[in-house]
Amino acid sequence: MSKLLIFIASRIVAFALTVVIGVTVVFVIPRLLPYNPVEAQIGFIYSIGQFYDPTAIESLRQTLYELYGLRGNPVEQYLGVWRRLLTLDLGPSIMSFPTPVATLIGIALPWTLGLLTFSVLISWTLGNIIGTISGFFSQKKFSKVLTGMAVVLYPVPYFILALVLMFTFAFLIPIFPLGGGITIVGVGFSLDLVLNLAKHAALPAISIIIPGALGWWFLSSFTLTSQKKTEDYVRYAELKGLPNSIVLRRYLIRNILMPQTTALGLALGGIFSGALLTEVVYAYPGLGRLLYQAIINNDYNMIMGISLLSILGVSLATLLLDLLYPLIDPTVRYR
Amino acid sequence: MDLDGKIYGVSEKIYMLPILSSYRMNRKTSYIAISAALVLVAALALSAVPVSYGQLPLPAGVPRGDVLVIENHWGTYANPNNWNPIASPGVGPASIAPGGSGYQQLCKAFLWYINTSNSMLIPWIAAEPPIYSPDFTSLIVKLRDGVYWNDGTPLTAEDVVFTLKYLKEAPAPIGVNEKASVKDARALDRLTVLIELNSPNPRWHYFYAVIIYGASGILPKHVWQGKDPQKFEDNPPTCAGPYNLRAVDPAGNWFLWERFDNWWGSKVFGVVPAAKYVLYINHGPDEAKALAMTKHELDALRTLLPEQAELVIKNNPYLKGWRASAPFAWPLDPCVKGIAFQTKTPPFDKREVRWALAYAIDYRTIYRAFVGIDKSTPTPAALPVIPHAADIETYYIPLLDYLKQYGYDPELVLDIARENNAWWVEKYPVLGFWKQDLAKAEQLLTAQGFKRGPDGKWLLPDGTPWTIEIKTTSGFEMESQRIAFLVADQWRAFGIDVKVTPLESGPFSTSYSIGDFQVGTFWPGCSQILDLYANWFNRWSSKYWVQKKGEGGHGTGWNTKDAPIPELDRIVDELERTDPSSPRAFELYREALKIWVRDLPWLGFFPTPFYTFQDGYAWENWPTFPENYYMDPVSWWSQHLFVILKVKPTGRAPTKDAIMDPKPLQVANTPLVKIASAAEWQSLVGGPPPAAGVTTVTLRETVTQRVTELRTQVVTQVQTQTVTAVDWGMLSGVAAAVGIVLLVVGIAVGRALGRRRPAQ
Amino acid sequence: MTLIPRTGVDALRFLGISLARFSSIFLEVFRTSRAFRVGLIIFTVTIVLGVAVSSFSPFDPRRWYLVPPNKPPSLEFPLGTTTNGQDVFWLLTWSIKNSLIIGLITAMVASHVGLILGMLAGARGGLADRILMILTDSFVVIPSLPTLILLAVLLRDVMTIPLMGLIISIFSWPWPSRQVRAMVLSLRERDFIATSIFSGYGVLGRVFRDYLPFILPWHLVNLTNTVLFAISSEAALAVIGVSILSEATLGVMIYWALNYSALFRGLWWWLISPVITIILIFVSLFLISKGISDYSNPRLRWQARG
Repeated sequence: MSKLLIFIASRIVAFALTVVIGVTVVFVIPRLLPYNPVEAQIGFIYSIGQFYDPTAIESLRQTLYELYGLRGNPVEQYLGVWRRLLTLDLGPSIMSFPTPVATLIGIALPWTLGLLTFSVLISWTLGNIIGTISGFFSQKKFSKVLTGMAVVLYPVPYFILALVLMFTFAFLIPIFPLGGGITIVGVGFSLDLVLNLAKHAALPAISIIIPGALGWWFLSSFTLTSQKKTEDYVRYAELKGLPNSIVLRRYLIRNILMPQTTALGLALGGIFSGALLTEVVYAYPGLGRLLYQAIINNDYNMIMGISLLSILGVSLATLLLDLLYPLIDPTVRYR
Repeated sequence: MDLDGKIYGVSEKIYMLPILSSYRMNRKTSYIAISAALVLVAALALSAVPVSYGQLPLPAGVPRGDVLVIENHWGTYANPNNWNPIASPGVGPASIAPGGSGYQQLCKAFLWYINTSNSMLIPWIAAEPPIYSPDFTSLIVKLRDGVYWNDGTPLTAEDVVFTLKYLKEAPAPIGVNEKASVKDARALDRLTVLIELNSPNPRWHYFYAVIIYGASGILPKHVWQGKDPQKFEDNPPTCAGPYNLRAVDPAGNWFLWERFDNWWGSKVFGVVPAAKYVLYINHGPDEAKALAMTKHELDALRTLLPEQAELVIKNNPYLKGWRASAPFAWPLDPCVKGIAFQTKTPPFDKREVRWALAYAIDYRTIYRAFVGIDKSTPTPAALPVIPHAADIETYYIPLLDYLKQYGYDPELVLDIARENNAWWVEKYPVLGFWKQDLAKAEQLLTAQGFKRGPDGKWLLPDGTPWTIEIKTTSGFEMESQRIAFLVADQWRAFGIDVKVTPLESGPFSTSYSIGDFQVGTFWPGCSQILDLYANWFNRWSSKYWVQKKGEGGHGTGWNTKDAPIPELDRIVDELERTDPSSPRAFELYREALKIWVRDLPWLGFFPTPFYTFQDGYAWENWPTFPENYYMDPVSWWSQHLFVILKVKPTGRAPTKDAIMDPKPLQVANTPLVKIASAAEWQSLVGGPPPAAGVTTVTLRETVTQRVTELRTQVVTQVQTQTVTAVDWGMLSGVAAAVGIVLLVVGIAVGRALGRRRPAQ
Repeated sequence: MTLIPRTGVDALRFLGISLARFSSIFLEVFRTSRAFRVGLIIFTVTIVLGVAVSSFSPFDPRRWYLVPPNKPPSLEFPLGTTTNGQDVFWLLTWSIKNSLIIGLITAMVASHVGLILGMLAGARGGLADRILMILTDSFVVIPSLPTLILLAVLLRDVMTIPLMGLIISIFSWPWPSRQVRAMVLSLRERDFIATSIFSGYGVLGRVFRDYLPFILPWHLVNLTNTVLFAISSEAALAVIGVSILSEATLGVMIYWALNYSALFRGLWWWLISPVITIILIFVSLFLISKGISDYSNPRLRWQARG
């Protein structure tokens, strides 16, 4: 029992340390940039030719430095970040000053969660089903065809796949909208609302599902199956004359499900940083877009907010998996 | 770990990949695979089920022909519910209120617009141009009678005074202009405001006049009073324009505005806009916008790169741009794009070096690279002045001989322009550029101590190899990026190592602001109107450079702080005391431009052509050059309001509530300012207090106005509240406040009563 | 402790052993696996294109407007030309070279850092293991694409092709490190390790003598995968515009092709060339690693998760 407690405690300590290191890295890197949001904003005002009083600009600059918390030495700023994080305050967004980061994340989070939970689960399920089956029958023609497709599809740059899908299904065969999150006016929950949401999420989802299901999840489950089926216990089962379906279900799938579930857990944890490229291509209003905007506008607080969410997501998923693993898999012990 | 493709988490993905082993299995169970494939197909098909594609966000039953669809060029707004137009400085995507949401075109209360095509003032909420005192230390603004907010409250001098004081008192950075310039403001009568300035300034009203965008608007006192200027969201916004906000995308991509049929302008000017709805929408990346335009799901668009424009041109036969047919591109964007030198950093601090680099440029190649497939051409602009017809006559032609001394060749690209039918070739065949002159460049550099190394590459005077870094844009203003790569190529051919660094908007603007660059494709040369002072001309004077190195400001334009140019300082000083529309002002500008040419602090090529497409499928009467050029076709400027008021349905798209033949708007263009003589000023300011009794009339008028709107028996209740103001001193403020409060109470009561009544 | 001299000897021994093993694995795999042979041939062809052929280009293909723009493939321009007036064929050869440099640097740095840290953590255990694992996990949880974008923006002024490889390495070592550690942990339970411990070998000794030979085949696979990871990472950065846009890499080629709407304008040769090249590199490396894994599969029980 105490062994278990020590195990749990050590995992939690490791989790905390991981988060601390992650936050520190995310704090340091943007501040090393030779650019800062105040000057960016001033430069922007210059470049669009807005008429300003020349002396007013200088006072504007000074005030913005104060407001954005960019005065003070790095140690103070760092401590300030932790003070805020521990009180669950992410501070104001700089690019949308003075709206709090938490508010903006709150707006974007449901979109990302909706889109990604759905597409990750679908692509995981699909990919594993076809991957396992074709791994099991790796000599069959369909298996070779699928593998070939996966190997070719997997390395295609993501952006290009998304654009091709957009061109095909929003222009040539216009069954989906070009982008955006929702186009319905009026309030209230209705079937139309759901359909509208689904229609907009379809292309982004497909462009995550295809490379995911046919690329990554397929290849990994295919690989695992191919390996596992050379294990002695599988051969034994086969030599015993068990039908394929039973060998597949009882002997293989369980063993493959273990590592794949782990990977699924991590993938779900990773949802919190959004799907940057997809969201950019399809103007999907999720966290990835927000993060990208924050990066190009040097919105430190926003970068920190979303990264923290993502760091917590992945490390919590890791922690949970570590803690739960021994419960599922008898060959792993707490130690 | 991530879902987005190839990067996040590819690490773990690929590491799990390999090991495909072969194993012999010959069981007939491929049906599993087939059913899996069926599942896949079914899943894909299912997600495709909702095939109906009314893809624009419109209320149920609204036909396409009732809606004007305009691009939201800022993209996704992180918080689409904050309509506070003052909290965030600048007009960037930080704040939703300006920019791509339609707020500044349809809603914001502007005193004046400036017509960029003739540099005249269009009084809007103000009745006439501002009247300045002879010494330019005060001005009087007279408001138009009969203007009211869309909630029925009159828009009066009190609102103007409130706005100025509110901004002045709000915590910085809000109202920095007002803090710096306004000493006091007070209402002389219901429609007249006297503004006293801290220092003489004949251009103060530019803060409140729309030049292109970013001008301050008037805030409704009855809404904003007592509100936190930073936190108040004003959601939905209180407008004084022909549309009210109807719906907002919770995701921040689109904004739907609905026509307000009792708009003050409909009463005053007798016009009602044709479109029942105006939709501002972000379809996504440029590819998506181009596709939307070919599907008639976008009526007006900011711009596309020529290559993407090609897609639209080929697929949309109804397309219009700056002209009704090709060439389409609008060649008069208000900023001359080109490259700027950091005049503080050696060797670019020497004008000879800057000139040498200018002579190393082959302008024809650059010009040709910007000729579009539809034969659109840029308008050459060697001076930092946009060559509108008026500007060519005021600046380019008078300075022609002077420019020629510096190698200006007015015929340099005339043949290319002529074969592409550029708008200026016939009437003004004077637009050219500095001719490429490698010998002169060589000689200028050698005279400065530069040498060529054994490999033919240039060495700095100290003997080290010369490498130039050009900072340029990435992901926005892509035309400037193309300029950077073209120039880099030409300088390399001349023997200088050049590196191009593309930067996103944040880093790019920062470099500009703090001057952290050697050479960059920045554009200090913006000029919307003939009065060049309106755009940073003031910063050419050394007195306005207050920063030290590293503290900002070094990049913006022409830093003359450490090496003042006395004649330039004198010109700026005199301009600050000169009527901006007087001949003397233009003389001074020409003098300043000569100094600019001599020193060449930056090198402008041309305003890059903007494919400001307008779709003629559902709407017509777009502004097109030259036959119907009533306004620049620029959907992101506040002036686009005048286009929205003019367009009419073609009938190709089904309509229901659109007005088929709207009455055209007649609105006066006036001089930029009025300057009172001492006697006139005395009579305006020092005269007896204005007569009483004016308010009653207007208030009653607005009350009637409300009645039609509310359709209840508020009438009697409110009419009793008419106020007769005797003295517009202390009393008037109190009286107006009481009046407004009573009015609001009355309306509230009326509305409450109305709600209780059964439906009629 | 006599750890140090012993380590020196072990290091030499290791070199010898691994060289011998490398060549024997290579020959063995080459002989037995058709996949490996095919992969190797494709890969060699790309390398030859990138390294040898690229140096014969008649001009610097990065320069603009040297050839007529927008020409489809022809005898004169085998892969056509770009809108910027570049010859796609020569541009492609330069891009392959640079992308391979990025890939190889990442593979050299990241996979070896991962290998060494993983083995140390696994072999030594205890506190060192804990610390190394926390460090590794921290890098696993940091969102990598955004951080890479930030780093690329940060270092843009000094960015070079090799530096790009180094930056990508930052997020390419943690996962192999976890894998290696897991393998070492499972090896540790075996009898011959115990023998080593009892005969007095130190940690490094055990690492070189006992673990490496078993991990080597996996490491080879990992090397090839890292090359691919680096190439596609660079492409992703380039698509967002934060790679070195004036250089020639596969990602930068894609960036410019997208930037000029090659896809929608029918300039397929411009976009397809780099994409097909990336696919070919992937497929060839995939086949190579398949060959190696097939060979090593019976001995190495490879776990999906460390």
